[in-house]
Amino acid sequence: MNEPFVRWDWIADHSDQIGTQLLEHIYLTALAIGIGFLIAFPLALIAYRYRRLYAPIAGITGILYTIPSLALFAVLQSYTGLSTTTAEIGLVSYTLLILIRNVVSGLDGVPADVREAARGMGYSPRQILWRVDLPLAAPVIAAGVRIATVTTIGLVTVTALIGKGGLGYFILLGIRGLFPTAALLGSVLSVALAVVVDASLLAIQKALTPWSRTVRARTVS
Amino acid sequence: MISLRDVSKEFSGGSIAVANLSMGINAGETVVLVGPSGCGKTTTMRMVNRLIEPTSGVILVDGKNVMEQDPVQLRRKIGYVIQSIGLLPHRTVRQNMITLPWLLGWDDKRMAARVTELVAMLDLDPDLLERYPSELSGGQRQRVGVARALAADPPVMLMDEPFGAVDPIVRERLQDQFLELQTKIRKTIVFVTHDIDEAIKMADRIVILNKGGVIEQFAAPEEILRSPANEFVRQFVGIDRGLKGLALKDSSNVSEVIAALRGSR
Repeated sequence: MNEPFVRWDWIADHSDQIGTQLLEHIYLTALAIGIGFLIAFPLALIAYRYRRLYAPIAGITGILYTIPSLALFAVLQSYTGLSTTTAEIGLVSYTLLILIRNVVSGLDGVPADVREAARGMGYSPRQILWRVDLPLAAPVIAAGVRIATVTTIGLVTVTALIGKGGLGYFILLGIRGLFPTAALLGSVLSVALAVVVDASLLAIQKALTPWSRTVRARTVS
Repeated sequence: MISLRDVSKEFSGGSIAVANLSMGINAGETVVLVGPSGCGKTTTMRMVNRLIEPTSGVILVDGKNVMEQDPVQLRRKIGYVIQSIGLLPHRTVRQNMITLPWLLGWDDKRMAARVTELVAMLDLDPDLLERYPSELSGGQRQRVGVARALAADPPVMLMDEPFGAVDPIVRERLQDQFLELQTKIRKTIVFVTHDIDEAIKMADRIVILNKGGVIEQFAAPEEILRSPANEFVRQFVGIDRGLKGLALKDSSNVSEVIAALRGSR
């Protein structure tokens, strides 16, 4: 009897484990983006304020970004073992460049006359940053978060090699056991997760920046 | 109300924008700074609220040295309008108008009442209040910008080509409206323009500046038209100055004269 390509019964039998791995995938991604943002945001503000530091900051995070993920996890493993820490060090490193670049270019895009008017009216430097610059940069910053998140969701599967991996667990299981059902399941769910999260983040951003919607509506019409 | 004594501004590159400039501006008076580009008119205005700090000299606003005040607090007491207006794109018209009252911590009731007053004062359509600046026309934005500067009722206003970004017909209407408003609110206004016609129309007194922030003449519009202090002023006010001066003699309504002159060209 021929084995079917996708064994739905296997999927049905493993629904609990699928749920667990999916949650782990989301957890690893959210943690990486959260920590990544906490590191990237102040670095981006420094790079924006002290322009000379932008090149070195972008350079270092750029180098991190180019390290092949397999190699990075292999090296890190000998220091931090098969742990969430190992996974997160790698995942966070890959978010930094994208996040920093988008925060800086978002701030660069704030119209000079708006900042000038705010200063002239008596906004303090801190108020200009939090009440003018950052809200106006928000759409570009949010775009960075979306790209970083989608990238991270893909990268999390690689951490299956160090015993984490979320949905990557199924991909690895499928490759090792020559069991296409599992590999397919892991891949499809990972892609679906990326699509759903990306759309959700976009919806959140639009809800939080109603003015950018009206601007777009005007330019289109 | 505003007094500049021996004020100079040299930029870090060594270029001198303003050199030993002194002038006094009385309370309730509109003084227009006019001159060719590079004459330091905007620099002079921006030194009043410390957006630019003078290299030397003293600037007093209401008797107090601006350099001895916290710049943020100083600016909150001085209305500020720039050519591009710079409304906050992420705030509605209403929120933009109460920017300063909000910074100053007014309560909601007082801010709501002030919005109602400003809408009436500037003849704005109340339907615009909940819109974003990107949804307004140029003239509407300009009026919201003036309303925003007036919101906290500052005694002093700095206006840098406030009607410069709109077409001539709208500009004329905004100028007329503001002149009428000014007869009621009597602010002390420093107004910058490169347009001598606008200067003549808006000013109680005009300061004609030359390159390097040198004052060529500081006088009422009629006097500048009738007896320009020197060749530079003569050239700057233009060859039809005789006509403008004659017309002024017979008419107290400057805007009518300007309109007539516009038509005769």
